[in-house]
Amino acid sequence: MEWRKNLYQFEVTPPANAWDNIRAELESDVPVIRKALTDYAEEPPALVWEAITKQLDLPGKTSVVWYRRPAYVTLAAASVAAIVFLFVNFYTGRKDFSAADVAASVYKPGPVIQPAATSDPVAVRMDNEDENYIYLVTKSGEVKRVSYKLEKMVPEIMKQDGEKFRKWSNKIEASAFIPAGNNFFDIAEMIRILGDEKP
Amino acid sequence: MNISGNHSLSESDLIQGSINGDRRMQEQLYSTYSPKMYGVCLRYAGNADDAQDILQEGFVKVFKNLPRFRAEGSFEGWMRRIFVNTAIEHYRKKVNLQPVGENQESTLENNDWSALDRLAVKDIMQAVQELSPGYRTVFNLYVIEGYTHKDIAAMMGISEGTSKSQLARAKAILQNIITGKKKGSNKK
Repeated sequence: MEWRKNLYQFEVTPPANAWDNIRAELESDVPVIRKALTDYAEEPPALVWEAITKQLDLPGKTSVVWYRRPAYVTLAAASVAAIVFLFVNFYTGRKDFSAADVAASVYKPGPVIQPAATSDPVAVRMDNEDENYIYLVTKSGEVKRVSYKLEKMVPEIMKQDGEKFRKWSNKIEASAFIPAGNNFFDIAEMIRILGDEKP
Repeated sequence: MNISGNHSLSESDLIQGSINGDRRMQEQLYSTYSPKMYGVCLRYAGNADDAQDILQEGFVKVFKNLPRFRAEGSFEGWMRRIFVNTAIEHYRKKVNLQPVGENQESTLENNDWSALDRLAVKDIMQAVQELSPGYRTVFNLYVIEGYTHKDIAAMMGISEGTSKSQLARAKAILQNIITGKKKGSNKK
């Protein structure tokens, strides 16, 4: 029956404002976790770094530093830190953590990777005008801008496996999310990308 | 890649660009498929406002779920299923399923649909939109999309018998609407 086919293929151009409404909804629909991470402008909990370095097969922890949190973000920080901790462990495949570990990631500072030794193949310099970023100058003179929050791990990564880091950097540049100096989203993305590459 | 000129963009380019969050690609994807999907929405909706709501909700779902699309089947078919499901969900609360007697059902099952071939698609569409949401949904799923009563029962959370009775009633009402339209046009 021809009318069935015609009805199935029936086409009408939607009103002109329909796309504007859809776009507005897409733009306002920032995932809750992303918003929380964006709003949470603190150093990641120590165990997050630990999980990242484990994922990247970096050398173990070397020292302990303490982070100070403003009082007004303590509650939000605790929630976000717990989520990030669970998120990281999900992708790194770590299953042997307990509720105490989650609590530790929230309330207790812990070990982080220290900057590399002077023989590091990259030079790191700070840009005073934009404290959210550091600039890496490779031996070949190539300049790469990365979040300040990665300062502690970048030299180690470059020394350990510069190609892996560059590959991640390229993927980050082409990814959908917006990198920012005050959230963990690119870190989470890095973990996801590395997780995807695993056989 | 030429974004303003559509010729160099393949469907997979649009899909990948949309997954990456490129608004221009998303808009291009929308422009390509929105007339077809809006046609689906209008067929399931009783009016243009509801159709626009379903269109908006459906496209947001499409963009959110694009990474899940496996290029094993038709992309348009995948989109269409999302819009049909969105329409069903949209009307789930509004649908009022009315029981139909056995005699009535068996009589109506034998309705002759050839009369519809003589109507313009716009007139048929208008008649379909005049059906109540329950009848309209079952009619669309069974007659137009080609789902079985078993599928429809699962999709709508009803029994197969109810699906059959809704379709039978839909046919009868549609027939009356069309007959009325014919009489109206003859008077003119």
